Amino acid sequence: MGSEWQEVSLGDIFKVKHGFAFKGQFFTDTRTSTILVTPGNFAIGGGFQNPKPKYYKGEISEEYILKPGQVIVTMTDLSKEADTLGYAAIVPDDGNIWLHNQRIGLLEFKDSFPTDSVFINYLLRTNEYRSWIIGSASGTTVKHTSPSRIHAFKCKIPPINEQRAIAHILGSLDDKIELNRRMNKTLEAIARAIFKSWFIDFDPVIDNALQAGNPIPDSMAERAEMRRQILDQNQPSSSSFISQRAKNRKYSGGFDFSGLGEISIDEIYGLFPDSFQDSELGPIPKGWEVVPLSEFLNIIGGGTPKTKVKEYWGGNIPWFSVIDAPSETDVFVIDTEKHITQLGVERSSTKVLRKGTTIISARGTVGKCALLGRPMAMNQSCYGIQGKNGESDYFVYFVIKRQVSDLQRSGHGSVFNTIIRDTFRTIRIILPPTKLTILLEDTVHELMELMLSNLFENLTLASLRDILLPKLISGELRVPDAEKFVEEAGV
Amino acid sequence: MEKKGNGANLGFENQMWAAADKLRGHMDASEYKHVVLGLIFLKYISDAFQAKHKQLEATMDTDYTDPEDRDEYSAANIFWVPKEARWTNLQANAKQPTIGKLIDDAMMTIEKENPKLKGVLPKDYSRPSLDKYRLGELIDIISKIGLVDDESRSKDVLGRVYEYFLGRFSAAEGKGGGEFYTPQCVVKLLVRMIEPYKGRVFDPCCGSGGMFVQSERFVEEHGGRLGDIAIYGQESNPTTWRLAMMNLAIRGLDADLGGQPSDSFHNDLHKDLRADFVLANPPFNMSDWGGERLREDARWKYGVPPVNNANFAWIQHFIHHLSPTGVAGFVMANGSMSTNTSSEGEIRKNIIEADLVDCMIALPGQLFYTVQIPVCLWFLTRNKKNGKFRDRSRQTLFIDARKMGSLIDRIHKELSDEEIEKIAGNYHAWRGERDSGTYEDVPGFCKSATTDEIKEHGYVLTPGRYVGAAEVEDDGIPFEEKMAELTATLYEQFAEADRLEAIIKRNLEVLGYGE
Repeated sequence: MGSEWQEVSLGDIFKVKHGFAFKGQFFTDTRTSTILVTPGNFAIGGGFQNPKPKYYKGEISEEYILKPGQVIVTMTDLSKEADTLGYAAIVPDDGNIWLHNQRIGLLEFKDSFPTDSVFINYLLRTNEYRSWIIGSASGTTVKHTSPSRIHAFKCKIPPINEQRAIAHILGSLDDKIELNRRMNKTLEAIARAIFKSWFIDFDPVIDNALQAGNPIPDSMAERAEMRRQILDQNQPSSSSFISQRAKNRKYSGGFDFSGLGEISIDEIYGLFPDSFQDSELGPIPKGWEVVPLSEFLNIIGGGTPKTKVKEYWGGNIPWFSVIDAPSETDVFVIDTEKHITQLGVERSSTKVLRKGTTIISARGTVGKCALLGRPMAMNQSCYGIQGKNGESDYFVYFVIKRQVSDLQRSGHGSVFNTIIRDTFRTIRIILPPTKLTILLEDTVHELMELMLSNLFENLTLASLRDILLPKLISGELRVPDAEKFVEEAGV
Repeated sequence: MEKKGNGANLGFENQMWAAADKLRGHMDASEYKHVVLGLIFLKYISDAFQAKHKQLEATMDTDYTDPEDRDEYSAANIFWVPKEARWTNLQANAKQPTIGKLIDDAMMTIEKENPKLKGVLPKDYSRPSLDKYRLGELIDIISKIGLVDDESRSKDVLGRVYEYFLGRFSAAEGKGGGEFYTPQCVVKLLVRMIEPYKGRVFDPCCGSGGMFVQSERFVEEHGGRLGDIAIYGQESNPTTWRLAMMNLAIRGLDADLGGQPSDSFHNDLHKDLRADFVLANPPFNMSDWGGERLREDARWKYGVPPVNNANFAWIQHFIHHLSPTGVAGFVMANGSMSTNTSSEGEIRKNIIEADLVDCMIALPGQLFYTVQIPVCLWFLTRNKKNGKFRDRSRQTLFIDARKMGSLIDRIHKELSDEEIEKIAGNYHAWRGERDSGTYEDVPGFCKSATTDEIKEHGYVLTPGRYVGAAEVEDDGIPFEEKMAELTATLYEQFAEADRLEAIIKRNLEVLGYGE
């Protein structure tokens, strides 16, 4: 086997197969595991994403069910710049049934030419390929490409071993990005579970009440029974996540835990009351309060520097608008599409908000939440929210996230639902004492910081991938002794 | 079984529509509508007449009835159709070039013989721009309606075809064209809510009369008699007004539409009417209603409505026409529930403090053919302790139905009969009607609020504010179990992260970029 790169047309190595025109009447919002692949599943820059699943409830022919690992391309693009036209993605192995919809092309590889599908997936992200696709696209507002135009693209590709090596190098970066995403999902779920256990389900309070023999309100009888079983089975202090963390952690910052020293689960429990009292929202832990959201939050408005003044734009201060909102599980926003300058901040009503501020979108798309992973400004369609005590950032985030559906429900206006300052006055929540919101802060701090660092790491990984990709695919940067490399890496 | 109980869905209307629409040629839907609906009307009154005629003929020898005696027809509330205007005559001449003129003459003679229809029927079928060949084909298509059914059913079939075509036309005309057409499920919900069994029903912006038709159907379904309700309406658009007159004639409804098309604000044709029920779907956010000429009016009891939006003028017009025990149910744009611009917030506050607001319903989006904005239903009552129901003084029922409805095509939603029953049933239980069960607040769906609570919310009537959050379903998994699962996943991910990091490091080293 030589190591020569061979000039090919893409049509020599695969055939693009058209999808099926699934009937619009069977599209549904109801969650099922049968999902149509649409151009929206292609991320800008390539890769698979699933922002707005389009579920399907009609009959399906086996022929149009995609298999995990298959390479697909989008042949239609609605955006002006044709941001995703022709890009490839790999069908994910996530338990969903992905349907091969019309205007999506499936690559059917030919046996005559040995190719690595992951390599081809990266090849279909190069600039050269993209320019060819966009240059040859038809349509004015909606851009189309076709199998024959994709087939016609000419390029040089390396022998199979080098293909595999390149695919492995780029793939490991993408794998880590994907893993970080999944890890963030886990981390977010852990932090949310602790929040829910303490402040929504009142587990520690119920546990304390059970141990003290205090009465449990009727509405919590079921939960109490569950807790009783847990308490009987094992002492929560021996196994739970909180205790492991808490033992290694000295509480200081912000709140005076002096005298507690190294905190134990018993001491954490000691911070929760052991009985309930009545309130307008039903029974709540003794000593906690029902207050309007506005009472413990500072609400900050945003603004837009004059768009005509060039000096205000393109600086190094991220400027948040709703399109920058992170996915549900990413929690943090670490960068934005638009940036402004210090001058832009000074000459407009926008302010730079500190890291840890929760942002909620209030007009247009209402109720998207984000925690600031670094200081940034934002536009006037959002509110910045901080706890009045200045320290309970994560508590504020989880409370707001939980109230989002409430906020949306009581939204104003005829065409759009909007959130106004008044809205925060009408929603009442159960507020624990500050020492507990700070305890949450300390307990989930590392989890949240790890999420944040994963996000920053993903930015680095993606840049690394994007800088390596054209060099590796073009052969400008070679993998020395690809055969040995492939063998050692076991791919 | 009929497909889908909600629409006037007879199965064949769709085909009829497609066939009829194919003949449209270069005509606007708005123009073509009058051609088609006029013919359907003609077919209808002719069919009704023929049926009676046949019956009289059959009894000619036994009861000495005379099929050509017009008194027999007026006694049965059937229009007298002169020989030359009968459908059989038109059908026979459908392919003649003179067919346009024949139809016009038929319309004219019918109007002459039946003063009630004076000025109502379209009479421009002979105009040169109307393709006579196509007109003939259209007559053939319409001739098929009712043929398969016995006479007793043909009236309903024709009526429903008329209604169906009205709906389809409003969809075909697109934006702005459909202001006269309220989707059937919304009308149905309004009617089910206020139950106009008996008394005076008024719609001061009645469009093509859909509210009345639905009310009639409701009365019939509940074993009442048509004569139990008296119908009053007004409509300012002359062509729409004529459609309404024909629509009501087809249903055999005796209605007082004021005798002419006219504007409810500036020329109220029913000045002294105090209705038991007001049912209406006024045009949304009408900005050119001539409010500047109406700064003072007896109707503005709760405040002078702004000149640039007629919403609160309509609301007060409705209230003005309610009898001391009257109930009004009407459609409004969502803005009406929360606006504080101009004087609107103040008017709303006064209406709430006068204890008129009985129930508010937020509807799902995409119900209307032509309006994209979300809408709500208002229910006002003059007297919340009128003895008929329980005393609901200073209480208002809020229903958030935004999650209801299902898509009937890609962009239109419809409420199902079950959903309509659920909403109306809740209201009736809340009003304390007999046999309607006991009312209970359902978080996320309905809530009975006091006027003081409404005041706390700044007199905003948006149901979402009051109904609260739907119970979040607890997964029932104990915290410890969930944590054990999550942490196990996390540790796996940490291990995977270590492995991947090592691989990436090695790969980068190979490329010459070691640490």
